[in-house]
Amino acid sequence: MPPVLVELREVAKAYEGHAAVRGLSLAVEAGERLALLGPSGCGKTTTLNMIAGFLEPDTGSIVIGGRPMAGIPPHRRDTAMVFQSYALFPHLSVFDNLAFGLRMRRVARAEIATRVREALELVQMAGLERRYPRELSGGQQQRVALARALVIRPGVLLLDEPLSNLDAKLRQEMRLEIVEIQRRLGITTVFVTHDQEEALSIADRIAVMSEGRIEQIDGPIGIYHEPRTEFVARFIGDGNFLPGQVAGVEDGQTRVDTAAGLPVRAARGRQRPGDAVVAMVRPEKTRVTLRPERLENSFTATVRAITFLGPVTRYQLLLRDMAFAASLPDASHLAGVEPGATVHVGWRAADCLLLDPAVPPA
Amino acid sequence: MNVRRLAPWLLVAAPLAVFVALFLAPLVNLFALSLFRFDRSVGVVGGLTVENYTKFLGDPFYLGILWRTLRIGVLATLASLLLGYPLAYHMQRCRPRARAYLALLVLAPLLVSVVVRSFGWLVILGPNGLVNSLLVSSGIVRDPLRLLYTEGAIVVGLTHVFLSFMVLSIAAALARIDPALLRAAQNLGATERQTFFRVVLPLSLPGVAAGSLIVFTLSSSAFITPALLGGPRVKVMSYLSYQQTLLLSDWPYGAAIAFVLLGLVAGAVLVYLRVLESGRYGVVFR
Ligand SMILES: Nc1ncnc2c1ncn2[C@@H]1O[C@H](COP(=O)(O)OP(=O)(O)O)[C@@H](O)[C@H]1O
Ligand SMILES: [Mg+2]
Repeated sequence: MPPVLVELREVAKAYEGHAAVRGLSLAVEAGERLALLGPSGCGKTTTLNMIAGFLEPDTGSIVIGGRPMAGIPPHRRDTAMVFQSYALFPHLSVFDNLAFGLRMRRVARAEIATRVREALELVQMAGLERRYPRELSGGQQQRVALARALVIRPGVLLLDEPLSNLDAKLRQEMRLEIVEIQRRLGITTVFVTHDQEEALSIADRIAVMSEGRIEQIDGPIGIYHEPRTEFVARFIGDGNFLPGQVAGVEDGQTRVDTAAGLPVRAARGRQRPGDAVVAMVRPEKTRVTLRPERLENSFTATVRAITFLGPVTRYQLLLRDMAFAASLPDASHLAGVEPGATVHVGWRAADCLLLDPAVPPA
Repeated sequence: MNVRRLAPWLLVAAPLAVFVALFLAPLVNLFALSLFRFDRSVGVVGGLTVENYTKFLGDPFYLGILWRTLRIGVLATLASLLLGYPLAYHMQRCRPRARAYLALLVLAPLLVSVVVRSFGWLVILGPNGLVNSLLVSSGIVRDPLRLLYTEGAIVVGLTHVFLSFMVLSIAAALARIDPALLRAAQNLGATERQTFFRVVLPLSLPGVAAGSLIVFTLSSSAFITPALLGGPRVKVMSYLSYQQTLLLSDWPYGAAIAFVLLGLVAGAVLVYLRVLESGRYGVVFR
C-alpha cells in the first residue's frame, strides 16, 4: 500500500459555536486523487483550509508527510491550492502570477523563467505570459490558477470546487485534463466538489461528507454500488428508497417489511432483525415486464409516466401508493404500454441494498 | 427621440444646471476677470492682458507663497497617508462593529466647525499651550517654542481634518480586495509581510491615489485653517487671493492668483496620476 501523505485525525472546527467539521478522520495516500464530496455547507472548504493552514483545527491533528502541522503557518506547508474563485493576482501578469511562489522560494531568475514556461505548457497556456488575469476567459484563468499551484511543485495539491465556474462543456474537458496532468506529475491531490459526476470522473477515492463528518470513503464504484447509508445513496445517483424494518435473515438474504407494506428481499446486510433499515434499488437495476418474472422481488405496479431519454427509457410507476422509478436501456417489450397500464416490476435481492437510515440532525 | 431615451438626460438636467450656474459660470467669469487690468484710482479696467499672470510669475515673493502652498499640500498629504494607511488597514481587519466605531472616530473632526477645530489647535500649540507647558515644565526646553504661526502648525491642522478622507478612501480600496488573494499569497509561500507589500499594498493603490488627490487639493486650497494657524506672516495662496480681492480690491489680480493655484494643483494631480498609471502596478488603475 502506498504511504499516507496527509492524515487528519479526529479534526473538529467550529465557527462561533457552530460546528462546521466534527471529528473528521481521513488518510490521503501519496499520489492519489481524493475527492471530498458533499452538499454545500457540509464543511468541505473548512477541511481544505485546515489542511492548507488557513484555519487551525479546534481539536484533532493534521499530519502532512509525517510532520505534525499544528502551529505551522500556510507559507511553510508543502501545499498549493487552486481556489474556487481562482484568486489570481489582478495586478500581476500571468508570468508574475506563476513566478510569485517561485520568488517567495528564492528560485534563481533563469530557473523561474524555465519553470514558468514549462508549467504554462503543461496547461496549454504557453504564449500568454504577458496577459493580465482580466484579459483571460474563465477557462484560461482556471488553467493559470492550476499552473500557479503546480509550478511550485507542492507535495499536496488542493482544489476547492475547481470547475464550478466553468460551463458544462469546458468542465468535461478540464476534468480529463486535470486527471492527465495529475497522472503525469503523480502529485497527491485533494479536491472538493459538490458535483457527484465530477467526483466520480476525477477521483481515485471519494469521501462523502455530511454535516462535518465523513459518511463513507471508497472508490467511485464502491460508493455507487455499495453505499452504506441512505445519505450516500441519495447523494450519488438515483434510487428507490423503501424504509422498513428487518423481519428476518435466512439463506443469505434479509427480509424487510417496508413501511409501504411490501415484503422485500435484499442481499444479506450487517443489520439484525428488528433494526430500522432503508432498502434501496437503483432504477437501472429493475426490470419492468408485462408478465411477472422469476425475481426475488416482484410486484404489480401502475404506470404514471414514460419518458424516453435516449440511452434509457424511464418509467415512473406507482407501487402501492409509492412513487417508484425504473430505467430500462431497452423497452421494446413494453411497446404499447401507456400511462395507467398495469405492469410488473422486479429486481434481484442481490441488487437491493440495505442502508442505515439518515439520522435527522440532532 | 422617445421618452425612454430622453429620461436619463432629463434626470441629469437639474444637477447639470446647478453645476453650470453655480460652478462653471463663475469660473469662466473669474477667468475673464483675471485678464482685466486694475487701476488704483479707476478700479477694474477692460482690455485683455496677461499682465496679472506675468506679475505673479515674475515676483519671487509671490512664487515663494506658491511653493509654500504646494509644500503644505504635499506635507499634509504625506502625513495623512502615513497616519491614515495603518489606521485604514487596522480598520479593515476589525470586526464590523469595531470598524463602525473607528469610522465614526475618524469622521469626528468633520463634525466640528473648522473655526472651533482651529481654535483648539491655537490652545494646544500656543506659547502657553499644552505642548509648550509640557516641554517647559519637564525641562526639555527653557523658553516656549514658536509652534503657532508656522507651516508646521498649518500642516498639523490640515492633516487633522483631511486624514478622514484618506482613511475612508484607503479603507474602501482595502475592502474591495478579495480575501482569497491573501490566502493565495500565503499558500504560495509569502509571509504576512510579503503578502502586504506584494499584494495588499499594490491593490490598495487606487485608494491611496484617490485619498491623496482629495487631501492634496483640499489642503492646497484651504483658507480658514491656514489663516488661523499660519496668520498673516505665513501666507498661502488662498489667503493671498483673499487679500488682493477683498482687502486691496484688486479683483483681477486676486482672480489670477486663484487661477495660478488651480492650474498648478490640476497639473500636479495629472502628473501624479500619470506616474501611478505608468508605474509597475499601473494595471490596477485600469
Ligand atoms: N468564516 C465563517 N464564519 C462562520 N461560519 C462559517 C464560515 N465559513 C463557513 N462557515 C459555516 O461552516 C459550515 C461549513 O462551511 P464550508 O466549509 O464552507 O462548507 P462547504 O465548502 O462544504 O460548502 C457552513 O455551515 C458555513 O455556513
Ligand atoms: Mg466550499
